[in-house]
Amino acid sequence: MGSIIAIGLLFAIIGFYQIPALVQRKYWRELAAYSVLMVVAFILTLMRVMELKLPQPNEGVMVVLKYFNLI
Amino acid sequence: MLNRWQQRLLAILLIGLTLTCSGCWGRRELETLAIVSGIAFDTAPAGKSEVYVTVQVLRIAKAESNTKGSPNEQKGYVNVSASGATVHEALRNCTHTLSRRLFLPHNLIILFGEDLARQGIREYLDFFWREPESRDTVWVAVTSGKAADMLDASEAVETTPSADIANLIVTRQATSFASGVNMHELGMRYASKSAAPLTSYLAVKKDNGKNIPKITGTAVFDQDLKMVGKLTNRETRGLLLAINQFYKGVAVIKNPGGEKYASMELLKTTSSMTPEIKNGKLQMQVKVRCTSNVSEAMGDTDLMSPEVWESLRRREAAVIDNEIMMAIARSKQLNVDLFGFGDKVYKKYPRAWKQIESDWQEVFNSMEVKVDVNTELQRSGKLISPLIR
Amino acid sequence: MNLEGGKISSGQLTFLTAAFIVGISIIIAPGGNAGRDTWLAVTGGFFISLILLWIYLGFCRRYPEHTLVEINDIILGPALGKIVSIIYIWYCFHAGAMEIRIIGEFTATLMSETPVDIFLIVLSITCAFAVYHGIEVLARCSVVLVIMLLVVKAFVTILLFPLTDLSNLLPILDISPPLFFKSAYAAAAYPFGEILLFMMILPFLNRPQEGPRSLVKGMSIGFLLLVILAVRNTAVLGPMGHSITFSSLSAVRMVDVGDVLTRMDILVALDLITIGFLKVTFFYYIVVLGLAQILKLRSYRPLVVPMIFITYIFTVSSFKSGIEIPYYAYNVWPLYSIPFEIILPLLTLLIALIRRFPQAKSSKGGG
Repeated sequence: MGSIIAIGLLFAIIGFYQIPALVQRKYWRELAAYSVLMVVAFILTLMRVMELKLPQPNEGVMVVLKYFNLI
Repeated sequence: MLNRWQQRLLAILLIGLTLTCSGCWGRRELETLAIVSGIAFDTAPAGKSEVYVTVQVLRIAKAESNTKGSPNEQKGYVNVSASGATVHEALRNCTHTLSRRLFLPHNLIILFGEDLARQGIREYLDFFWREPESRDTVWVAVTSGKAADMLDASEAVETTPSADIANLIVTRQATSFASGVNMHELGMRYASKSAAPLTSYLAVKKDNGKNIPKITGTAVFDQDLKMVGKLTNRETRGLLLAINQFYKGVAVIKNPGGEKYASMELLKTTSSMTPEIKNGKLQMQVKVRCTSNVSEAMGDTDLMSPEVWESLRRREAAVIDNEIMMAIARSKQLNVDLFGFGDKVYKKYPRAWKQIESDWQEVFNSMEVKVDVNTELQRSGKLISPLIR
Repeated sequence: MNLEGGKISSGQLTFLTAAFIVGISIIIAPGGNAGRDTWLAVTGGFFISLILLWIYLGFCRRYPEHTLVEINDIILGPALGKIVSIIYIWYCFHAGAMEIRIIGEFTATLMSETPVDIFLIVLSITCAFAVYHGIEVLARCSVVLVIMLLVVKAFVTILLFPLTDLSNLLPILDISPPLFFKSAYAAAAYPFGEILLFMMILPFLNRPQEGPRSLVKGMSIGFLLLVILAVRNTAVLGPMGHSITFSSLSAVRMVDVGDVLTRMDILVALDLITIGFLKVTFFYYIVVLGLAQILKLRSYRPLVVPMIFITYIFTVSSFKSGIEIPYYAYNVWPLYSIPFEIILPLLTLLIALIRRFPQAKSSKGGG
């Protein structure tokens, strides 16, 4: 629980620094992209901290290659 | 420019960085280290099949002082033994009697007792090749008797017996009567196609009741890293001459025209081994080129004539030739390829090697070796001819 | 370009390319699974990659003012172009993650009690900080750092001369042809083939038409260095060479000049960290710049911070341990990179030829 709050705080602080600058310059598109990416990062970090299993592209690659007997 | 808050934050960050960067996570303070200077492996007591290791650790405070205190205080080192199922476990178990953890990078030597060497040392080496803390320049040697006793034998020239032994191995280059092999070379020989792994061989000499380590020759292993035999000093020198690892040495020859001896100091020696296939048969050509000085002439013969020089050169070449042939004969006798002839064949004739690889030892035993020694005289020191009345 | 105000000179591009190619060859030597014949595998890989470069330049040279992402848009149309660009960006991201992981593993070997995460985080933050400042900074850094690399490598190699036994390189080409071709192609895929990503920064040159030449020069410098290193390591380490994880490190450890110049591992680590930093920053930069161009943003800077997190999480979770890395780099990566380095660019080139290199729309041109 504590780590979740810490991560949330970290992202909030980062946002606190960067979002006003974006708003001030009226970078709406950039703000949108930034928010989407930050949300993704936040979710991934949470999943990592809570030790949930994240999707593994490497394993996908290995599975495909093994299927074609290339490995 | 940054505003006030940003400046303060930056200042805090920088101070924080400085504080945290003053040490690191994996730091090891000097007082917590047991600096290992020698490691010795023996067969486990009571016939158990475990790894039995004795480790020589520097005792730093005591090692600095040269006081003549009681014998217990004089030693600048301490030997600790432990056993375990694997090398790493045995080394870790040493901390049960030491108050500190072992620190390997300054290790100088690794010794194997002869009994253990004859059983095979393959299992012991992987740890040292793998562990990043262990340096590949550690000397490896086999001792007659128990290796742990060798760690106590001391000439008291250096701080610890390990340093003594390491220096013995290094200064073997003065006579080249023994070989010095470090972990890296051992690995190279083991990984090579045919060359037999070697190490130095140490024995203990008793001198006025004290034990002194003495380097007497070479220990020879087979491809499974089981010791199969020893080479005497002359055979070792023959071997080193042939494989171009000869440093310096003195050849004793019979004085031309007399019965006394003369000494030739061998300075630069280069040699090469080349395989040739003649008439479908494999032949090895060993060429040795050697430069030497006349360093001593115990007889009365005048050295000022070309015939005498020619005679000196011939005799010296004969000595070298003889030693190399002794080494070759011994290699065949021990059924190993000491010289790495197989590798030379592989490098020059890879396809032919594939055919003879499996029977290499028979091919080696019946192979013809031509030795061609060419010596050059350089100087004769301060005297031209021996002083005569 | 609105996104990037900086300009780099062709000399800087040469050095940047050289740094990129040398990369982390200390650890994952290109063509390393050829054992003794690594140097030949590297040579083979180099020439294969020249063919690849020819393909890439085939469709990029017509558009000197546009980055790869924009070129995809022009040649393949807005929809398909964006999809292909996203695929390239993913490839770059994956490669960068592997780089970071390799560097982290190396430093963690030397300091085994520190968790790998620390190195990864610190490296990621440093590189992100460099990305913030743009390509010009990166290119300038690379000049200095590559020169330092060359000096240090020359120094160490000269010190290793007495231990070099060139007969360890014999017999030449004793391995089976399939294995050799596999190693040569592995060397072409990584690191040479990633030249594709340089197509993203060609527009930022002072004189874009010198781009191809600088690239080839840089690749050649990198190639020469790799060959010299491969020859040196094989000559020094002999038959043990192919079992050793870090061949350069083991070779450099053998240096012992008069008991004074010993234990030079630190020089290897120094080279690795600096060149690794350059390479990782480059990957980061391409990812962020590419994303910004795909989304038509006015600046890539906001994207940098989220990318740190995403990259770090990805790196840490996708490679579970350091043992996998050599296996992955030598066996999986060459195959995995085929669609990105060969198939997609070839298709793009073909479509460009068919459509006769459509011109850039004026709203995009030159801006």
